[in-house]
Amino acid sequence: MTNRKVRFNKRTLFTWLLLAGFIVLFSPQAITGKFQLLFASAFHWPLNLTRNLMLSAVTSQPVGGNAERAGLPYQNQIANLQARVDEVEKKYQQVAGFRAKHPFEGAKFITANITRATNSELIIDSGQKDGLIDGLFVFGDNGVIGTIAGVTAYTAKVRLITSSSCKLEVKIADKSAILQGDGRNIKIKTLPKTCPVQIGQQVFCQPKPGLLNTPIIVGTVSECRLSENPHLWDITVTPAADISALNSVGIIKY
Amino acid sequence: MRWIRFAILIIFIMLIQDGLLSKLRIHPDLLLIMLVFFAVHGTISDAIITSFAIGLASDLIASTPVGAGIISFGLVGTGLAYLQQTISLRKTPFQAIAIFVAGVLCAILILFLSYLKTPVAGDFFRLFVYSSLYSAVAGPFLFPPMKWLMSLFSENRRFY
Repeated sequence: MTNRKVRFNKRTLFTWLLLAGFIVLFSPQAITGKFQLLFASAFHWPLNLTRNLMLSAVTSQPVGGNAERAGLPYQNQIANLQARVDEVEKKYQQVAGFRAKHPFEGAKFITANITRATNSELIIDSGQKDGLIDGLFVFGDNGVIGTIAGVTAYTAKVRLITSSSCKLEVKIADKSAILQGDGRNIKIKTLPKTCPVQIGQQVFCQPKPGLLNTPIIVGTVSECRLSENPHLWDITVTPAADISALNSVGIIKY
Repeated sequence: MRWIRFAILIIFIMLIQDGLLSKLRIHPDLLLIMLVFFAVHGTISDAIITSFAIGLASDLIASTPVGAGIISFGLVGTGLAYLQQTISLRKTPFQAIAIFVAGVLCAILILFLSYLKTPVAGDFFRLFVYSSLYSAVAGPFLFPPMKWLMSLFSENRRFY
């Protein structure tokens, strides 16, 4: 009796499992995404260990490469400060005597380690317990790398700017545009041809009330050509941060 | 089928796949190799359950919508198990071809099912095909250790 095996009809078994698959597929992503976060949370320690091991093994270290990599956050910080100075100057011109606040005054800066990384998202080891909510901007090397899109108690999912589902309002050549990833690259396809765009030009994330008070660098223009629509540019942007080499990220919360 | 051993093996492979191999742009898909292994070496009922379970594992570590992997791996694994009854896939070249074909089929299905929910990255299919090719090369060499692990301490050297 105790050794009796439970036998299923193959077709019934297959049908039920297939049905379960479809139910999971069409369930809201907010629910199913939690399973992925749960796995990352449960196996946080071995995942972190193996990821760091692999990262140190595959990261190429050319002569002078480390110095260049170490300088990246400072270059981005200079660009952010320059953008801030330009913006403040503009404000001074508009309103005499206007005293601008420090960009991150009153903001809480939360740092988190990356436990999992793919081309389009990151899983980090901070969550609701640290005050994270959906929509917060995530920084790497002092540049914007994505936004929070899914939080559990101890983990959160970061939707990277390279993700096809990430859309960010950015400023380029003093014009607003929408930046969107395509899985590998970041593209701007909404800028009219009349705007002067140059290779190497910096792209900044537009301030968002309650989430970001000042423009922060997202990347630089690496390719610029006319799109299928002859009135619009097809701009490729290289991220300001070396996302694949990041071990930790920062999140700004006001 | 030794289900506890299967559960430990699948978690171990998920950790290797997600932690060690995820930093490489193109890498063999160990879960795909596992799918073909159980479809070829197990009974049909076991192959059905393991295929859907491996699909769920794949969804948990991939950036595609959860569910697409369950259905794709489930369908391909079950199909392969039935095919195994007609064509023997015990020889190494056949196993390599089976892994590659299963990988491409899974990629097509995942891509199609993902489009029903959220569009996935543009070069997903190309990466999956390359990954299947790598898996086809590495897979037959990973079958003997998998078989050894699954039949360890078994008197008749069978794990199902």
